[in-house]
Amino acid sequence: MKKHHFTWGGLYLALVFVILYAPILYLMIFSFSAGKTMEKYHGFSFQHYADLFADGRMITIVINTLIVALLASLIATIIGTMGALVIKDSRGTWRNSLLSLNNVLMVSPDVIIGASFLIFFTVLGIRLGFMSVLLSHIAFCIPIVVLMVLPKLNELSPTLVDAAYDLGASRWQALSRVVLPAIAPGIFAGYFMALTYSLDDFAVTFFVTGNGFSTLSVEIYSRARQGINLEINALSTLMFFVSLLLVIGYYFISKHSGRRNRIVAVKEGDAQ
Amino acid sequence: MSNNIMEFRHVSQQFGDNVVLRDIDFEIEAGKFYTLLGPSGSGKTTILRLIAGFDQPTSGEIYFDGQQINDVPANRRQVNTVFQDYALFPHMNVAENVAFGLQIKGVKKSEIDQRVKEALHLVQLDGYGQREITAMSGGQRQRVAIARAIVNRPKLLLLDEALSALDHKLRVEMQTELRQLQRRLGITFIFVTHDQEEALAMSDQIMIINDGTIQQSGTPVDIYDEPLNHFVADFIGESNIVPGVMKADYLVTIDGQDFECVDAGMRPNERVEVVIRPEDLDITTVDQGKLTVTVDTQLFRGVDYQITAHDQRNHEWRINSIHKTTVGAQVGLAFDPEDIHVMRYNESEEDFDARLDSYEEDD
Repeated sequence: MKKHHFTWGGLYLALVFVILYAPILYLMIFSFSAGKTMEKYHGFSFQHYADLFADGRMITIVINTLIVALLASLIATIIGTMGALVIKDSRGTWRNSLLSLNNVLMVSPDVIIGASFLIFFTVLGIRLGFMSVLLSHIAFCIPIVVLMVLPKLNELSPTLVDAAYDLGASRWQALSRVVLPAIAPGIFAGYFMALTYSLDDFAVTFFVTGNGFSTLSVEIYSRARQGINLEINALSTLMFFVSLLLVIGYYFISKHSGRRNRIVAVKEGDAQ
Repeated sequence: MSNNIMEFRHVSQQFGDNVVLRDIDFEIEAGKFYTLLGPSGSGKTTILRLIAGFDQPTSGEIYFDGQQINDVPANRRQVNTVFQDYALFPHMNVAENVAFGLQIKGVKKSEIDQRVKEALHLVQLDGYGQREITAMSGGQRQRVAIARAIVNRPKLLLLDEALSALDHKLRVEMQTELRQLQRRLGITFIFVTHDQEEALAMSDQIMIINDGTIQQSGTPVDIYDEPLNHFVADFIGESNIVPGVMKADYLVTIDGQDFECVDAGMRPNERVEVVIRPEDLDITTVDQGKLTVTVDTQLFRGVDYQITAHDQRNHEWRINSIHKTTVGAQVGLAFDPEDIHVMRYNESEEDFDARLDSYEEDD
């Protein structure tokens, strides 16, 4: 066993993690408190979890949020992957303009995007609610997917597609059997990124939700204005663990497929 | 004539303003090993891409087995390619890579398994089917790429700089193997390379490409012994190229000194270039030599000494000799009339062949 020696660097790192995770830990501890506020710990209890599961409105909102996130990231992944394929095949200034248009959406503030969607939907006469939230989530997820998929496409050897044609594949077969499997890690990464962006989006959603439809972040915000209810703590704790599981799952998927999908570069003797 | 599997008729290729191929004409006979040899940027890979069907020519016709195939896409040609970077599919293992073409064609599973096994056996990769591509060495990947191409039983196999990523020893081994494989399968091979040694060692026929045109085509021996022009003589092997004047048939003057030679059919007193290969020059004493030179450098290369020397008129001569000499010494150079090869300026390949025929018949 290698002994771990004390270093100032290690201490600094530990401090950073403590500061980052302390608020979350604090919130989690109070979700198990019997009291009504976070001022003082009142002893262990599952009371807030029971409240949470009895709160039908909250459960509906959680389900709504998940539906929006899953649908939006799925649709955004399909559109974004196709977009990345088009950008990859385009040339010169056209390619650069497409990429810039994509990147502008990434860096522009959520508030601006949210406000412009609100104006857009109002002008078109689309009722604010599930559809408007879904559409705007799809819209801001697409650039993320494009950015995750494009580097994988650029890594691919251009002769790979030629090789597929050469062996008799049609355009569709070359795409479905060679290109898509080869860039699958990028597509998965894009999907997961889109999912997390959609799940925790507040600013855009805040503008485009209407009456009767809400997502978690907007609901928590509106409840927090009337004083924090410890039910929120319970919900946050659950969500924290769910996202932890997602991250661990993604790590194993990417570790497994990464070994297999690593792009084969021609390098003499790298396996000898 | 019916034995021609592939034919180019006046094929030109242009990308924008950039002319890559100019009026290319050639025929490929079935069952032979052809090499397209040329420096990078000469257009040889473009020819390969036209044959494979990845690009369409700007003008001219391409025939395959007697059929015009200009508009037949790559996936419907009976041609397979081994790519320079192998282009193996990274998400498939060795057997899946090899089986890809057969699966696309909808061949039965049992037959696929059988043919994949045979193909892997041909490239000496028995038992490697379940390996990942990343777990294979460069030489093994090369073999997988060859197996993936030949498993489809193409009529024509294209190899694009297929050996250039391998180290020297492995490359020489693969040259022999490729040659044997070609003989055994009887498939026509078209091999693209910039390595003249590789071309000489493997081919039945070589086509030398430069600047978008075919400079010369012929057997390796023909091209080596009778290069058509300065470019070919310089590109294939080492050579001494000096200006001369053709006084009469079988008599050439270099710097005012007359030499007997075996070339004829030129105008009297025509200015020409004279090629003498370094290995045809023998070092001897000054009075026995036809030329007198002073030795400048000497380099031991294992098989021979590479010697450079200059004559009285400051022409540089390269000599490959198995005998040692002394730097700074005056020596004589001896050579036979057959060692001299005379090249005319701007002679076309047809004129060259016609001229050779005209006086070789007389002999």
